[in-house]
Amino acid sequence: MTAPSRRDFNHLAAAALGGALTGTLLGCSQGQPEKKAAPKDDAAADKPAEKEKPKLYDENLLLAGDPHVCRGLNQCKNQGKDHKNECAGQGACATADKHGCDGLNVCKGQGGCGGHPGQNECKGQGGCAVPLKDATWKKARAKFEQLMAAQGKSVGPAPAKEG
Amino acid sequence: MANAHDLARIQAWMQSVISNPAGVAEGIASADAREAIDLAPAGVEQVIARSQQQTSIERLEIYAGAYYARLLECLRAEYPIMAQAMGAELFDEFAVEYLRRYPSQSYTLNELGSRFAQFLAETRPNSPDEDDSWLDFLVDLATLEWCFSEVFDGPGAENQPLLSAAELKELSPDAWAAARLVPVPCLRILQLDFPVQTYYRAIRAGGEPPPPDRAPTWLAISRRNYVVRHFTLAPEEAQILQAIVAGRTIGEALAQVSPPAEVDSFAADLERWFQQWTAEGLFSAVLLPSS
Repeated sequence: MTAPSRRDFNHLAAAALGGALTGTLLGCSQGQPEKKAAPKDDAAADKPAEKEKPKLYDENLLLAGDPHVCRGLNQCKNQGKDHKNECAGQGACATADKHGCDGLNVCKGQGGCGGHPGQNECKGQGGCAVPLKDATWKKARAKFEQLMAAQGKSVGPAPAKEG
Repeated sequence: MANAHDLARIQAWMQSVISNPAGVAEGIASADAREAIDLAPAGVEQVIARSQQQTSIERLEIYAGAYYARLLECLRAEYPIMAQAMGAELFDEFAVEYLRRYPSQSYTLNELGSRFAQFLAETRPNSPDEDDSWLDFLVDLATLEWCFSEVFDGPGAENQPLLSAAELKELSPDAWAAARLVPVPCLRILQLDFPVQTYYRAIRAGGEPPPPDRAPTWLAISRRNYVVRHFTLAPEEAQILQAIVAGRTIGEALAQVSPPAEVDSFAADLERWFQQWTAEGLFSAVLLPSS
């Protein structure tokens, strides 16, 4: 590695300053909502080394409109389905699918849903002992292989059977 | 008798009982519960009456089931892409064990999934004869999803001024080189082994992509107008940005990267990178040596 000459360094610093300055102007000038990136833009954005025009406003909008955005957390910040704060502290109130009586606010921990109070949706939960054993990881691997196979890809050797 | 205990004591006991990952009976027998009310499981009716149809234990199990069901639901919402990639049942198996190993201990559920990636890394099998890249992929995916949540929930710069052109346009090159940029509090830089963001986006778009091949990946993640955004970084770009975020001067940050022989080309890269960073609002101010 060789350090750049003073002249080169000034050149690089000036380029960085020029870019920063331009960016502040671009950033301040845009007052419209960002456009959501199309999939092809996503792919292009993932090639930073390519000399392409910078994509300043088409990054991938995340979480906006996400059905899970208001997920029973304390800080929904107006991101809920109706853009109100009604969902603060509630279980997945946005557009998330409410399946059965599985601990949502409507149930208030009272159980009594269906014919198996206290056991509904509890498969793999709570006191239903499902210790994480190697079997779980093996299932994960099987799922991975399934995903790869669906794309015509293969993975390494399968896990060895344990005696 | 139940009325022999004050409400606070019963609440403490019940919390210990229903939140015990091993189950209600084990919860009643736990040290925490017995500290509140010293009771063997067989004597639970002294505190919780049985109903016509259910035993006291069964009644308590309703609450225990609901407690874990709710936490599970939070984890599924915190890691929607992982849950979708794994499938709900398999994800729940991981999530249940995660809750056993790292029970909820915060007043806010925002923290519930904070160690999921760590948990996956800790429990992953080590099989030298196998291709374990998929394990690393899962850890990276969890890392990405948690980072998005962290940025979404954490402090941002929505109501604060960002770095402005007025602060930069009078700077001399020397002053610029000695300056430091103040990052917004929601800026994160991730170094990953897989381009999991492409997988993430493809799943969100409704696709069924294969897990990506291993490829070193750097991401800048931030939030603007309460929307979490991310973009990829070139390796040198990430190195410089990390140095700036760590408090180095612009000159120090630039000096960390060995410029290629074609200085003009590298200058064009720098111009483009800095332009994107400031346009994205990654900095709130510039600090000069005298300021």
